[in-house]
Amino acid sequence: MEFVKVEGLTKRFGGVLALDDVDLSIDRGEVHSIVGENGAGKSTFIKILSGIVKADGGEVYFEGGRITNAHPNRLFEIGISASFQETSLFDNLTVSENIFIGELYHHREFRVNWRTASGRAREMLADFGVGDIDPQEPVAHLSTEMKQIVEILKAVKVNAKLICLDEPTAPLTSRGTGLLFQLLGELKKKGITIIYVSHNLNEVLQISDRITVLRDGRKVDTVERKDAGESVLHDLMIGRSIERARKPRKGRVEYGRPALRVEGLSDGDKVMDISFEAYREEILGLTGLVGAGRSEVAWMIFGLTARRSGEVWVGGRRIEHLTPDAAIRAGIYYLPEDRRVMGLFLNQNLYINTTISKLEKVKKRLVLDFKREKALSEETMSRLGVKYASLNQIALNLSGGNQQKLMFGKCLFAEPEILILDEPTKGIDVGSKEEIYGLIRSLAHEGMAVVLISSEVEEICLLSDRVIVMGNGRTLGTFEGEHINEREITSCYLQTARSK
Amino acid sequence: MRAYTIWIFLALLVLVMSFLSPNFLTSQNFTTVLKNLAPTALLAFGLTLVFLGGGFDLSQGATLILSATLIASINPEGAIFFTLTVLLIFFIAFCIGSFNGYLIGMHRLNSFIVTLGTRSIVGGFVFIHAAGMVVSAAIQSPILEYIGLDRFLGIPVQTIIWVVIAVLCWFVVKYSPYARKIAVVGSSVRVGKFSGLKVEGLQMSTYVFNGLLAGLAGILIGCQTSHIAPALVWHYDFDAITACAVGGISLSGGKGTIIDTLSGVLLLGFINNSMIMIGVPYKWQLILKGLVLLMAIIADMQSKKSYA
Repeated sequence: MEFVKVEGLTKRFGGVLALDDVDLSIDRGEVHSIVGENGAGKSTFIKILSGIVKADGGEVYFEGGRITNAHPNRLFEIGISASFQETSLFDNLTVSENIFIGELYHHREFRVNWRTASGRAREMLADFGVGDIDPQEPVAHLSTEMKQIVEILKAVKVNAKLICLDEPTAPLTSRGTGLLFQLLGELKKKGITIIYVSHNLNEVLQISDRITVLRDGRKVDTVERKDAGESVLHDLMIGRSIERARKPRKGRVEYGRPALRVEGLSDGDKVMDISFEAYREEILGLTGLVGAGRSEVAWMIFGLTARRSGEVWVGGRRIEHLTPDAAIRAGIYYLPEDRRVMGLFLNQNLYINTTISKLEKVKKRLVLDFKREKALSEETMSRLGVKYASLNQIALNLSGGNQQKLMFGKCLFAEPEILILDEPTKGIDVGSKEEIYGLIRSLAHEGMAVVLISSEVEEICLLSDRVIVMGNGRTLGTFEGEHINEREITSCYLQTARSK
Repeated sequence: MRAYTIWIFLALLVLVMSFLSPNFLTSQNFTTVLKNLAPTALLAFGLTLVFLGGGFDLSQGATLILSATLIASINPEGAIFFTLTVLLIFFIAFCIGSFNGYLIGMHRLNSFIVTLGTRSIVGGFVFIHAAGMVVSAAIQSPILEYIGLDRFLGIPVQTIIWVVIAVLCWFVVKYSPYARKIAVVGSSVRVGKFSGLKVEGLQMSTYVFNGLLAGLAGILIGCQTSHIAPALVWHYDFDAITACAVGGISLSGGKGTIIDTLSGVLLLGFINNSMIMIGVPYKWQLILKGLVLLMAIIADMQSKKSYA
């Protein structure tokens, strides 16, 4: 009997197939890693396994019993637990309260016996070599690393048989990573099975027994540790055949003065000394692992968050007081990653959304000219191919792809010269994606300087004239011409993940 | 659609009342109703802007009473003295509004709690000023009497004032880029920031605007009666909030017009008048008005469900 057996697992998000008919079996007591690029379906896989996300098709068996789409609590009871990229700790509770939140020790009938809980927590912490964490300490006081350790202990503490870890080393330094591996070693000795999801091939090769590679939601292969080397995995992850034809790139010589120049930008936390230039008629790709500091750079340029140091120059002029308002007036516009909470006023209608950043254009003397406003909005909508019933309908009622186009409309209405796009095709269907690619190309062609932030390397390679790879808030490398390919770019950011 | 329902309710109420009470459908009664709802109307217009920006203001009743006691007790004679007094009152109202707006807009504090605090502080000042007594001037100065009780071209001066303000507010809310910005910030402060709006200042300004209108409403009350009981605070702001809610101003921000508010103000004015006409005891008036407010909130929630 197989310990965990997955058959034909399929999951769709909107028009996107996150998992496509994945079969997998996991043996008792092994460390089984799952690797793949951003968006390969790794996180979705373990979210389904731990009951957070429901599968659309396929079956999951655990120790012979069917557990497909079971409630997380039930899975927890039978010994499956998970920890995710985003820690799910309660900041204002103590370490032991957090660890035992799911199964409180009861004293007599009603009261929780916190003393026992705290004692148990102390034992566990010592057991895993982190005895210097005080179980009575509020989690808020811990460093990011220690939080991650507590998060994992929380997953361990029940009689767990299977533990799923999603990028557990992402927020860790090398010391934290060392601690984590030690902890995983302890778990393995106790016969606990571990599913380990990671980008970092080096780490994966250190700790795994077997490795499964996912690409675009499909399983590529499962290999034994001894048969796998970094380059083998790398090729499996990227796939040799998917390099798509690209438009010919311009040489750097053609560029004149930069439209946007960023110098030594730091926020003292997530971004360290970033400098780059963006030119007219150019698409500059900005990529890196999630958490590399890409959005944070954009937020600083757009004046949404404070800089600790650094300067932003637009067309040869330094912007002194950087606020979104000043940025827009200087000709910068930022298209945020999350259209629902950052990009659109969902309960306002289409023309209100379109014109808001440049109301001067629809003003006659001091008042709004609705006729003009509607005409201009209609023009923008039809240019972008937004499908809508009426300009008076609220943005919430548009489909995801159309909402995305509306957000582009809002942005283009402000007539920017420098456009910063943050994950512009996130969560939209394939058709809209192609349309948006076309749009981005034509905007650059018309003379805009486009900065494209994306974690999809394929997208970056398809569109960019120049690519900057970021990691840990720093620039890792810049690519031009034929060097813009998935292999070189991916290996650039994976390398740094390793050097961490 | 919502707006129509309120006008239909209003028409029904007028129809039913004209059968129930012979004195209801008279020009004298209508003139009185329209005059008496002046303070409520002014508060409700100010509140509309605050609601539009996603906030709440509980302090306007207190500002109103402070302003009313000030003008009644100073009782200024002559145009110059009167103008100075009015300017002083507007300045105080401006300060109260700015204080609210500063804490809520700039420091992102909860608007309920901040204005609850200001309400108590301002209310306290009223008691200090009035020494716990009913403020009362023996003989009202002619200028106050004119504003409070006289007519211009056969229409009470108070009615003219609130109608003029209503038209101004309607124009601003409907046509000004300023009100448009307020409304979108009320929809989402975060998206507002990403759209380049100065959300802090915009939100703050709604409280200033509201404070000034509360000050004006207080002046009207101070002119009308020389007897002002500080306890009246509760009456006016409750009516204003109810009028906005009944009219269909979204309490979660971003939606609403002055016409909506006006429908609520008129409906509430006629409900108050009707209850007095048919002799509903005051305690039952409170209960009924409370129910009207709750029904309005439930309707607001239902309409939100229908598009969510």
